[in-house]
Amino acid sequence: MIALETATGNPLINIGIFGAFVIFTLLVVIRVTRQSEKKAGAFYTGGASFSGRQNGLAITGDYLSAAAFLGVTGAIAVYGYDGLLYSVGFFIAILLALYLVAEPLRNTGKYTMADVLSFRMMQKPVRTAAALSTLTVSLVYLLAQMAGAGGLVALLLGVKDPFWQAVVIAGVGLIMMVYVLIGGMKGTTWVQMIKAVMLIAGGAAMSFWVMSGHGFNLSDLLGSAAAVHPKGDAILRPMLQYGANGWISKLSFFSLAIALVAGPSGLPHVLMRFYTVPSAREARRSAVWAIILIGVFFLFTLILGFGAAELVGVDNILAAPGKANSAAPLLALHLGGEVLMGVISGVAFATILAVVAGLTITASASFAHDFYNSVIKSGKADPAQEVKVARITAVVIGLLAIVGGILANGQNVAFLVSLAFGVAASANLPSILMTMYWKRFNTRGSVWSIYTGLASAVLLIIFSPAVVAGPLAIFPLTNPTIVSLPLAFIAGIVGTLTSKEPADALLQAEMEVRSMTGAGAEGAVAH
Amino acid sequence: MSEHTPAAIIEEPEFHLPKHHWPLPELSLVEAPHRHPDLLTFADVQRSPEYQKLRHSFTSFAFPTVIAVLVWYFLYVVLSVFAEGFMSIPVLGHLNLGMVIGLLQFPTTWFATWLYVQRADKVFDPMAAELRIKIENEVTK
Repeated sequence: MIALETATGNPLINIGIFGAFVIFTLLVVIRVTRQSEKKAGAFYTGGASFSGRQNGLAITGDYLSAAAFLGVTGAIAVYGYDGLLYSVGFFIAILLALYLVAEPLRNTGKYTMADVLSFRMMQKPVRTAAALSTLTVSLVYLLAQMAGAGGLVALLLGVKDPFWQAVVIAGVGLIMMVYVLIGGMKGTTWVQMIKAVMLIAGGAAMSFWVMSGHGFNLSDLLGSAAAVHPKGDAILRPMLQYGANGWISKLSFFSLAIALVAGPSGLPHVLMRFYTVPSAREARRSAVWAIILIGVFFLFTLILGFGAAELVGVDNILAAPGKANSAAPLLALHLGGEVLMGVISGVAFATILAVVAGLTITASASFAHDFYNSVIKSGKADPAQEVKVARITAVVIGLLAIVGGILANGQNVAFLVSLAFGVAASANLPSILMTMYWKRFNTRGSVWSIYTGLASAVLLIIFSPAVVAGPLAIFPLTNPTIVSLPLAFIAGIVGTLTSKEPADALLQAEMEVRSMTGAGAEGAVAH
Repeated sequence: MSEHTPAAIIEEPEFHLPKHHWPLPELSLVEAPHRHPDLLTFADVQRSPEYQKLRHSFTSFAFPTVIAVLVWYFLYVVLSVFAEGFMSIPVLGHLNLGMVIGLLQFPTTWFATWLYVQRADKVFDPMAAELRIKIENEVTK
């Protein structure tokens, strides 16, 4: 068993490997972005020039955030079954994106989620609503990632002093801004791809290592983990985590399960990935690669989680600075010593960095393209000016992320992730589905659906035990989706049926035929 | 440019890839891959039986499959949340029924992915390509 003093491995090795990753990726970013990024298409979507396989790797990178890697491994180590339950919903979500969203989105939009939502509607009201919900989801998700960075610093670099933790958070934010400003979407996509390869390779190596100790018999691994776990066989059965407070926590999890499966098809930074490929067929291939890789990775986390429970021990994990999040790095330390832990820590840092960069570019594209160009300049802004606004927005968002990350450092921010998925599932997904698959859906329906989903998800989580305590917590569940998702659908239907302006039949025909055939869709930008 | 592009080339899915992905050297002469048809063309196409057939074959495959996948997933969630005893029935060594159903979600999801790609490559793509050529040729008439 590992003594606590050495629970962080060797901080110098951790910093060194992370530094090498930063330098290597910066060189790649500079190399792939030799041409000017003044064109909006180049900055937002890398000129739509990635192949399906490349983009599939990048989606995997965006998808497997630190919460998915460290969080799920930790949840499986501590709670067993319930950690798997969490990862399955998140995994199946991409299948929905493949079936219903990816190709129509690629064929009808250009840069942002709002392109699709406003395609056949009145531009200004729908774009404003879609931009607001994009910014909300992206900023909340960003804050959750940055707050997690603080805990990771404490764990991996052995930095206990809050001031130096703040310095490291600021450093992560600054490096991220450099990626986004120099590389735009092209550079960011390359960072995602490199990180995804590292993450999967690291996960595969450690899983192989753990399984080789059990003759590649999963049942044997589960049995050995349960034998040393303080909760014993309960980790092999459901509801150790989500059944802790009876019916309320069970219903909360059921609501979270809806958000996990519906949310990712409404996460703007995942949707924007489908614009970085030149055709619907490549969008399909990206989703397929992502489904394969993410599925394999979640199976790795199952092995790593139970492996950590067996080899490191739950008491040691929970006593470490990052609590459950430290399960994966501590397992690496146990298996391969300080060097392997340094690699896994570097991967974890790279994960935060890459996801934060993807979120920043999505939020700044939405602000510049949907709000500045379409709403303020009525769609007539000069593209170079629009990209300039996007770059300034990226700096502002980067600074907000740094300040937010420092303020949220050490706080329990689990509700932020819950909120981001809840808003994505309620404000974005219903309006996307109704825009694509319901002919009569019109401007009022879209605007009502987005605002209802957004407001109900935000309000329900504020007045829940996840944020406030005591009598103020009117809504008992910690996740709002079970209520806010149906509300958004109802608002969209009621808004559509009560509106005096019917849907634009010609635009609806164009959108539907384009989404099915790709005729007239945006292709790759000629270089 | 586009008027020199034979229809057979537009039909190739690789036509929509950037130059360095194109396997055929003669394609590199093409700069603008898409022509922009007007709204009435789209409305005409939407009413055409060929398009209706494509739309129907997509929705009648995609919607039921998505519903089946969601039913299978929520069966796992609901049983895990509300039928702990049932999901704890041992099946294989230390693997209980819940674990087995949870692990089965992975191959079933991959199978549904394979099913979609098969259908899209073999059925939707050829139909869509035919319509796309028809629409985009309409513009140059």
